[in-house]
Amino acid sequence: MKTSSWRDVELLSAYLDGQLSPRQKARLEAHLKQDAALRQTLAGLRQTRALLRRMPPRRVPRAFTLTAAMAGVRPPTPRPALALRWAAAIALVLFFCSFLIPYPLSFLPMASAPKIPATALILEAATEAPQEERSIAAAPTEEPLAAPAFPTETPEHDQSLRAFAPSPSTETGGEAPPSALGSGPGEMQSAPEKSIVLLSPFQLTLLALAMVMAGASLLLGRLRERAFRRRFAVRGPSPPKEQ
Amino acid sequence: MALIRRAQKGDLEAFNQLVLAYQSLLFNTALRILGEETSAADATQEAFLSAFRSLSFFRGGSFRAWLLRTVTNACYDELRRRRRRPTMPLEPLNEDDEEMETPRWLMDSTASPEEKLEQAELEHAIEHCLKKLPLEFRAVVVLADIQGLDYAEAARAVGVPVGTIKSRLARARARLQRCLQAFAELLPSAFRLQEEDSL
Repeated sequence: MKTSSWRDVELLSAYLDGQLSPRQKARLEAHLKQDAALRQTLAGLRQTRALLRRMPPRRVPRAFTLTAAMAGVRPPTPRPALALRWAAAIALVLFFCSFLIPYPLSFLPMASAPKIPATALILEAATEAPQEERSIAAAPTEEPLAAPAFPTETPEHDQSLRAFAPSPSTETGGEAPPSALGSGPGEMQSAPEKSIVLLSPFQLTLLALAMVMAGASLLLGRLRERAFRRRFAVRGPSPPKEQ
Repeated sequence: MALIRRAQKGDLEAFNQLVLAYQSLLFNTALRILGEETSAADATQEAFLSAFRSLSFFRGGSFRAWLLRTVTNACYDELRRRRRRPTMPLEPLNEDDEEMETPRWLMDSTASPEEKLEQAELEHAIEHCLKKLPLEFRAVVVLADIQGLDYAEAARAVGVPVGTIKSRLARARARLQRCLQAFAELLPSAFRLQEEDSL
């Protein structure tokens, strides 16, 4: 018996799937009427295709859903946490600026809250001390900008500096009248013992705000992450759904 | 389509809904290509993971074919791994260390041929014959005949032209036909049933 060529098999296979052009189809059907071997080959292919199509699908052994950890997904940062993060960053920037630009940033809050500032106490103590000691006391806070702007080598400069700076919050205001500070000479004598505090209340407030907001932002992010992971962990091994 | 768009934006929940809808298709495709359930499950999981990571590259068209491409790629990787670390073949070897072509090894000498006329046996016979096909033929016949993809979808799923699908499918069917003929006597009622269906 004549065996069909690969070309015939390809045509017959495409014929079964309805993939032949009308012309190819007509020609093949004419051949089929004349060729018994071709008809047998077609029957074999048709049977094979039918066997394959009847293969029942197996049930999936488990669900293939992805967990957040598998997918490497991080939960989206909640909006309040983002806002807090920005606010904390701004507070930190202001905090550092308060060292670089002492006059406006540290003066304004002091006008609204006229309490005895720590730096003022340091500097009041420094007025009694020699000039060298005064510059050392001021160094940790305002030396970089204050030194070139208000040189302190001579007493004349020192005097002009006292007249220029009414605020007691910085070294420039270190020699404000005692009445403005609300403290007498006795208190001024006890000032050296309090000189361990180096930040003004304004700076302390900024620092505290930055820390609190950063902490709150972290906490919100962590809470969102926990909720996110719990949500997908529960969903993980759901029962398989047959198609 | 809305689910796909959401998943493309990184929505894992939307993607998992797609997983539930397509997992049977992908698992069964992997199972027929690899012929083994554990590897098929691994390939399916790998395919979904890969699909999630590369979902932004999906530009429309048949999502089913796109997903099937990820699973056929995972199967190819698995088979490449097996080739590097070969294990004992399922089929027994003859004296020349070649796999036995006949289905005699499948026969249980204690059971009559009538007891073998079950769908599970037919399935086993088809699996046996599928394993004998070269991988590129096997993938095409699984996609087109078992999963019912048309030529265009199968071409997309395998990443070859439609003409290549047509040719591979014809050759795969012819080889399977020859292999399954050996089972025709063993499973006469199953084959008779198919003949009736195919008429």
